[in-house]
Amino acid sequence: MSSSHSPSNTPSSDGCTLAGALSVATAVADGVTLVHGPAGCAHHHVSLLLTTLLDTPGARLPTLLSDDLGEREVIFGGEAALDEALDEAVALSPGSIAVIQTCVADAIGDDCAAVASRIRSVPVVVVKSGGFLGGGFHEGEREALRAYAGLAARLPAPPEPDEGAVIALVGEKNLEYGADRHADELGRLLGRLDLGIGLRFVRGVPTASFGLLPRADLLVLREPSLGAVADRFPVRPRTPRVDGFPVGLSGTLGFLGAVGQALDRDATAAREAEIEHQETLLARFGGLSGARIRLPGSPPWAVELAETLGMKVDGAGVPVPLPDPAPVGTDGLARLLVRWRRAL
Amino acid sequence: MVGAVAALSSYEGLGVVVHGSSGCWFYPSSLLRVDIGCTDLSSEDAILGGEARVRAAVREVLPRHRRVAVVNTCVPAIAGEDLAGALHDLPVVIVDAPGFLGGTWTGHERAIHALKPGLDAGSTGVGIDGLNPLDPFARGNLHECERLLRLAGATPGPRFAGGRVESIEEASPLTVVANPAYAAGPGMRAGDLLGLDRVRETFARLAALDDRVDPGPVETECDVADERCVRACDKFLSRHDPPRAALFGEGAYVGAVALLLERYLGADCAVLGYRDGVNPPGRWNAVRADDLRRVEDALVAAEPDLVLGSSFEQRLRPSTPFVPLAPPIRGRWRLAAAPLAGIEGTLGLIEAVLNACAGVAAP
Repeated sequence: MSSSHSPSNTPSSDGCTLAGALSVATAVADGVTLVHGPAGCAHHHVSLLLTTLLDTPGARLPTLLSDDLGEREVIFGGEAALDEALDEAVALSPGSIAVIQTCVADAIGDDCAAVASRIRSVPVVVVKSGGFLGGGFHEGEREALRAYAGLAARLPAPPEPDEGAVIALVGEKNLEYGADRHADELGRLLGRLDLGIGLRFVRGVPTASFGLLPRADLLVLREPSLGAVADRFPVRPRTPRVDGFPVGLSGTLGFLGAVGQALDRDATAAREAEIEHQETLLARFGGLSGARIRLPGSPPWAVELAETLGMKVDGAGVPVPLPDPAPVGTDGLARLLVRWRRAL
Repeated sequence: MVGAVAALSSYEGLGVVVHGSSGCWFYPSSLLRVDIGCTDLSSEDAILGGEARVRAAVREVLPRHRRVAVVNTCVPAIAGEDLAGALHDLPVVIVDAPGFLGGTWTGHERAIHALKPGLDAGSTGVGIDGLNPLDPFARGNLHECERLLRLAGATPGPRFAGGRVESIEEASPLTVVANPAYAAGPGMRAGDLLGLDRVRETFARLAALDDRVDPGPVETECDVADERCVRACDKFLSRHDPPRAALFGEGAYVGAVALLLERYLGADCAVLGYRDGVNPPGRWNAVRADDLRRVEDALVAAEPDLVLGSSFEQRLRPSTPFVPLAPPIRGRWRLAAAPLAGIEGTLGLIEAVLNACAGVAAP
């Protein structure tokens, strides 16, 4: 029986920048996203976003417009269509407008920034993604983060959060099913240091809150590859950052230590409390001890988890699932261990 | 592009290659779940030309298929690549269907035309037109059209789109249409099969054109189905008010469904949103529904207590009873081949509407 869930001959590259840029832009709570390209491009992505959102109760369908470039615009240029669509977007009174370029717009050489500069009443972010001409999904995601960081530098700073220090999560994977759960876990861990999440850049927050970015005391990147994007953020010189969400048992403890060090706080008590929490979690899965498992790719965090539980990892063991991306923090491991137990 | 890829992929023996980026390839692949090739164009290819890539992709796909179709996408179309020249020595059909030319229906039509279907004047079968895998009812429609043709003593002929790739050359001179939005095949169209009245009319016309067709059994079955719908809806109306419906989808579908809702339930069809540019015939409040905001505005104005459409409309009115009528249909399992056309299509639709309005879970 075939249980393949994806087409067999997946091309090598990671798709189109449009998807990555939209994953960021559509996560701005009061934003409107305008796809400068054929209507089909917008339709595809709304459909894919809808599929993602179906698993998120109460999630709103983002406002996504298209200027519907057709054959006429391909021949004569699409700037007039963009201009008209921008007026439509402004009429919705959004907190900001993101203009996302498709490959068609790039190929015909439209100057989106010049068209967008006419709009004064609403901040407009032009994401120079260029469809596949600009790369793949991740390039689109990064280009959108850069564009919103540029906007952040121009916005007034909102009041700082109660915790005092502004901690910004950067580049959450918005299409990931567990994105909010991961943020909750980070909030729980930061709470051990009497800290909280000051800004989610960019997920579910209004445009005005981006003004906090230049005042960030710590950047927590979703993954290390976002370092190059964060290098150019409009933040204070030497703003510390943690280069990834915590993964695995020791990784989670290391995260607490890194945050404490970055903000000059003693993390000893926080680490001890988390160790106790991890022991409680591991005790729930004590029955896994002695099981022989096979871990695809043998990532160190998973090997550590298995060995801490007294499991034997070797190529002849029972294959167990490993999610990609890896579970975040300690609590993220619980759901994984339930799946391992089921597989065994 | 997606409409073209979908139409082509429904032919057995025809390999399909998307000449474009992996992003363009991803959407039809994820929707159709079939083996589709891709030239996986990069920005360098867009500058230097993708001819070498398309030749390589075709050569990779050819051994597994009897013919190959290459579907062109936006950027190579704008760049004006000479695909015909690059592939002149290979058994390839080139379908120029960049996304900016229009919707899925345009792509479907361009694909069928590019295949250059041939009429078989000696064919005794009745063809089935208006099939595309993007239509959530396509598989059910095919089965129902075949069943009704057999019931009338006719032989189902080649279909558009779908079947063996060789059947493209053997098209029937006479056809029935499952979904007019995708009617692009050759031959004389006797009519569509949307609703019992149209089934009767189309089979009467078929019988007039082909004396081997006996519409009697189909008419009898229509009478029985009509009675079943009347009885069920009468029972519903003894307990509930007629629904106030908002319908979204292809023009022909929403028009036909609105007639059924009016006839059997006395429904107030407050708004008919058409996506394909084909204004549904009749006296309806019809709006173009190819924009989510326009759909939202129409739903707010209509205040329906029944929505028929896609998951988009369902998402906009999450607490209103919903019946799937247009793609995408997400968040529910759909394994059986449910028709909208034909007698079973009418029965299935009325059944789904009654169950939705009465809050009955699907079996």
